[in-house]
Amino acid sequence: MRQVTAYWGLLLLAAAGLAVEAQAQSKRLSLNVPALESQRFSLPNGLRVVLEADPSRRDVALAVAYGVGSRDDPPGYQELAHIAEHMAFQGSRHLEAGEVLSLLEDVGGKGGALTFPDQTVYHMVVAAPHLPRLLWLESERMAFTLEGLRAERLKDEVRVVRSELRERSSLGVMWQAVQRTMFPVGHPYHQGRDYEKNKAVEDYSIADVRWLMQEYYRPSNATLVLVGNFAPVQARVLIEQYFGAIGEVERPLQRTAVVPVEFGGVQQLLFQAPVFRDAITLVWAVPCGDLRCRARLSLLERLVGGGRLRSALDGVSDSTHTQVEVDIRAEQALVYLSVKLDKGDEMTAVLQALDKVVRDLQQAPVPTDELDTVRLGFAMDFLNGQESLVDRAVLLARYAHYGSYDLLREVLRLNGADLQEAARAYLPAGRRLEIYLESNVRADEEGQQEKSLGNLQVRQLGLPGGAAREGHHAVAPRGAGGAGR
Amino acid sequence: MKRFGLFVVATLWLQACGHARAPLPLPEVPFSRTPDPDAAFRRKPPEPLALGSVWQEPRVQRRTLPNGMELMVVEQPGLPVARIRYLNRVAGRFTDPEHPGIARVTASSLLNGTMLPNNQVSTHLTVVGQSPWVSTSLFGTEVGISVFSPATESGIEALARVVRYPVLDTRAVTGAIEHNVRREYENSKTVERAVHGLKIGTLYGWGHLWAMGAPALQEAVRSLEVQQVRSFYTATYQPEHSALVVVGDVAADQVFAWATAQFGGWQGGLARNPVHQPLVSQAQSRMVHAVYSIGDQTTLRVLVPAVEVNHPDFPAFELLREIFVGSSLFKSRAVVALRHQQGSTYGVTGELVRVPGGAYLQIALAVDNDGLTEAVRTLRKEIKRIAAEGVGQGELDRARRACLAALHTGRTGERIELLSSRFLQGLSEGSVREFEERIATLGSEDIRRVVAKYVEPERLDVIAVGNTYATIRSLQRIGRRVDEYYVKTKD
Repeated sequence: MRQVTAYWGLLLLAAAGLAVEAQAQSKRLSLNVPALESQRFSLPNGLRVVLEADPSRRDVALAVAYGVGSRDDPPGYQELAHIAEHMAFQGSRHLEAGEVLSLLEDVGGKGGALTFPDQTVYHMVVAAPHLPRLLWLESERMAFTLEGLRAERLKDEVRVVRSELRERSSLGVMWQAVQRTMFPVGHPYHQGRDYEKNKAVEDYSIADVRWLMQEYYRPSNATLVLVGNFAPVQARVLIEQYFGAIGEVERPLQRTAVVPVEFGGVQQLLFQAPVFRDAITLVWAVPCGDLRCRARLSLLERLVGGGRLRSALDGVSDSTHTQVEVDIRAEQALVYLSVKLDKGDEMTAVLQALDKVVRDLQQAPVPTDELDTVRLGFAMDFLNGQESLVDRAVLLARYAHYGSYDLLREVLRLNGADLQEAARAYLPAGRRLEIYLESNVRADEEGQQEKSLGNLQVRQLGLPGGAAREGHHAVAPRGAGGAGR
Repeated sequence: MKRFGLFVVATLWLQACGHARAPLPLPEVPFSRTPDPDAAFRRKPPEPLALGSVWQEPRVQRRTLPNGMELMVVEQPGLPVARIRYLNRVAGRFTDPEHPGIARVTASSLLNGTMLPNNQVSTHLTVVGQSPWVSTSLFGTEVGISVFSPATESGIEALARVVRYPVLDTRAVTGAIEHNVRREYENSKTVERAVHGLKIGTLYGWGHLWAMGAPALQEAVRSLEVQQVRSFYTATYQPEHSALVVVGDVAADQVFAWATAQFGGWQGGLARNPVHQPLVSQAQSRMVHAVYSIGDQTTLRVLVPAVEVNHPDFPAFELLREIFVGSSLFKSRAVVALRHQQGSTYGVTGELVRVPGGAYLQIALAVDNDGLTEAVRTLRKEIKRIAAEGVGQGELDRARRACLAALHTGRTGERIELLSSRFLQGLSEGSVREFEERIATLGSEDIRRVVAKYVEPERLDVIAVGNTYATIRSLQRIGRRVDEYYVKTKD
């Protein structure tokens, strides 16, 4: 059978405001990406504001990001920031519990909130004429939530939070242990999140929640973003009216800075748990504070996940459960490369395949054709992602110093050598964490016994060829050498 | 794992869970530092703006080709992207009861090679955007592609090549069979796949074709022959039951011209009508427990048989869904009772799942194992309340707004989903308007009547996926026989 490639135009993106160098063998494609202009200003009380008007939309979305996340949970107070996020829906000076959302839903809007390691973000979206209500609701939350907090609501929300965490991860104990291994004691990310039965959570008082909110939910520690169909001048007037007078406590905000870490050597963890498949995950910690790093990691993620990983596994494993994930935090990124194994797969062979993926990236620039395909795929996904105004607003609030299209612009500037350099810098073979997850369910136990995460065993391995190390010394602050090197 | 000979057992998590903590400082009073907190503009929500220009929802433009194929285009400028979808409302998942899975294998085969005009075979398809994908449901088959809008013509050409000129040779078909056997295997490991078979079996009988489990379906797919796939393709891929939908930053006239050039010459006349196994809801409702979970939570599905989409009572079911388990994070009956009052779940979602000839309301939630009994009792109680008292005007209004908002989305992805599902389900062009009118006129008594007529609170179908020890006892406490199914989920 003859095989002919139908080449229907692999083209490069050259959009308004998106600078891309032309490739000799590629045609040029002109796209009319709306040239959105971001307006940025701060109110006298320190609230940072980003406005990005988009008249092609019927809605307007708002996001307010506070500089507080799970990394700010005081020692022994895990999930306090998350619980505070939930409590911020439970009433305020002028609103009953739940009204902050039901008054939005009454006019066809929706809202919610997310707690990240570095931030807590509240978001809302509604039809454009209801912009004043949007701003009124969020200003009420910022100014008067502390007055509405009720101790009787806290107990229920603690239960809800625990239920939420259990839904999200059945291997929370494992990921918490991983977190503690990756970041040294005292690092803001060291604590991780406790997805399991942390009874201490139930002892939190309403005063604890109030303290956290008073400390961090202040205008000078927040960024407000508006995206969608609105007139910027009118929006600014409204923002100044509702948010301009909001005051805050006078004591200075004290927040632990994130010092990015790099692993000092190879650290291995083996977990045994009642899971259905064995799995292997490689993790790299990357100091990453600028847009260029974020762009390079985003494209590496797509390049590896989009085919290289699967190709490397040919003949080794038929598993389709492969994953590449980049977790970008303040000044720090974590890169995960993982495979869930099929029955009969050799863990060692899979590890070698993963090594090969990384080695190939480091040894040669990414070929132009492959780079073009990956960049176009990234651009398509990126543009599709822009459809959700809420997602746009949340992203802008989290990365407030970038515009909506800045990441796409940066990605389109990258070339094959950039990715080779990034793979060398970000994915070193000698500085990574290897996580092995092994099923401890015997065949004759299938379905017969109650399986509980209480069975989970955690084992820490010695470094290959060296003495066993204890604790968490395989990570070191950037520039401080590396205890595990 | 022999390579790890020397384990140093470390109970990291125990070390990590030390709960020593110092008391936090007390918050300062007064809590608020905002002057004039009760100013008039702070006390109640402001009025909406009177906008100079009102956003206009883009309309659906339609053409029908002489061969019967429908074309639908929505011009939606903004992002330079076009979503293109071919729809086939005959090639449903169980259209051919003798060969379950053949529609999916045929659809997968389409992507495994096409015939070029010079009779050469192309096995690679590179397009400006995302690669094409296929999807098969009980209602039909969809082939989709997303492109940058300047490449819309290329995208339509690519889709036409995939749909009209598949090579369907041994390599293509066997590759598709392998792909689908693998896919069934993978799906069988998921809770959702396990629950799907249980849902159909519970609602319509365990012998119903749609309830076929993953192992049987794998076997059926494995036994398919190339010629059978070719015959299925010839019988079902015909323009009379096909449509092309394009949504995005495009000009409708151009799209119609490109689509006519690619699909206008497609000869039809051989299409057959879809035949579906009849639905008969079970007289005896069931409680089913499936062994699966490894944790402390139970995945719960509560099922209520509903009416098909063309039935006059269907809009009332949509409102009931919204009121009972709808999108409101704070106001739906189930969320208020289970989350806000009991704190027993993170959330409750509801979906009115349409199947050919019927529908069912599915309520989904996860609860702690010890909260299962109370959760089912609470749902029952709320249904009884609605049957006895009807619903409040406020929640009815909110439900109306939510139902209508879902029809008037501003997003191209949701818009093409709506258009596609309407075509595949055989709904007329005027069905949306009729639905809107019906929704606007329904009152509390209509909701009460529908619940009283169709829903028996004491006989809800319940599927609980959790560990045996906790789940069986909880279900038994609810008071009916519990059938236990072991879902094989491990390799």
